[in-house]
Amino acid sequence: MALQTGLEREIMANKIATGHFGELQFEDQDIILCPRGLPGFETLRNFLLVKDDNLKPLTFLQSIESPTISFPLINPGNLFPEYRWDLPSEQIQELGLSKPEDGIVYCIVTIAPEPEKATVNLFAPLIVNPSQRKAVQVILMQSAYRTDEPLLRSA
Amino acid sequence: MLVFTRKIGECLMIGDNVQVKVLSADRDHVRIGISAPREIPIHRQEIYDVIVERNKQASLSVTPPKDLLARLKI
Repeated sequence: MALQTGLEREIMANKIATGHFGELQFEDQDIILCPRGLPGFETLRNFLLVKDDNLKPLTFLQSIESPTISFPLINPGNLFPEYRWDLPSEQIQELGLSKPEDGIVYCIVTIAPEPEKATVNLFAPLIVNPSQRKAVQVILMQSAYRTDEPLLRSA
Repeated sequence: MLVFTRKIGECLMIGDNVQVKVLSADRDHVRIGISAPREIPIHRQEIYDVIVERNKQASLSVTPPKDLLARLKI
């Protein structure tokens, strides 16, 4: 039997030492699977959605395999009410959604030290199927949305 | 890198189900048609690279400044 690294042992115990949130304990059913990873992070497949009262309204997509990595997310609905597009059928299938409106839409935020410089990626949103706990980052090829829309534009 | 010379109208097969066809070519541009199963994502490299770069920057994000969070709460 191969020796386990400390990290492997911790994952088996469903416990990770994160960069931002300290030690996180989780259940198997908390794990969100990204079957293809995210662009640039193709080897990371298992994530947690971390919500913290002190960080509202942001949610964080926390990598389990690489605990120092997390992505700030925001639900674009309130900030960008005009944000509308159709989820391509292949992604509906990949996520196992019975209907597209069952998917939860998040957009990845790039935080900067100055609030005015924070941006949000409206061009490649993250869609989560909460019932199957799967997520895919979709690239909206035909859209004119930006990857670096100012987050405070409308706030 | 595997390199092929193809005439206009000629194709390459990648695996069993991806076909790449050269549609036309002039000095600076090559038009390429790809037939592939819908579940295989196909992107222009430069667009994919932008997403990669954005994701990397987002993953390095600092702790959000308190006034940013306050201004996001509507």
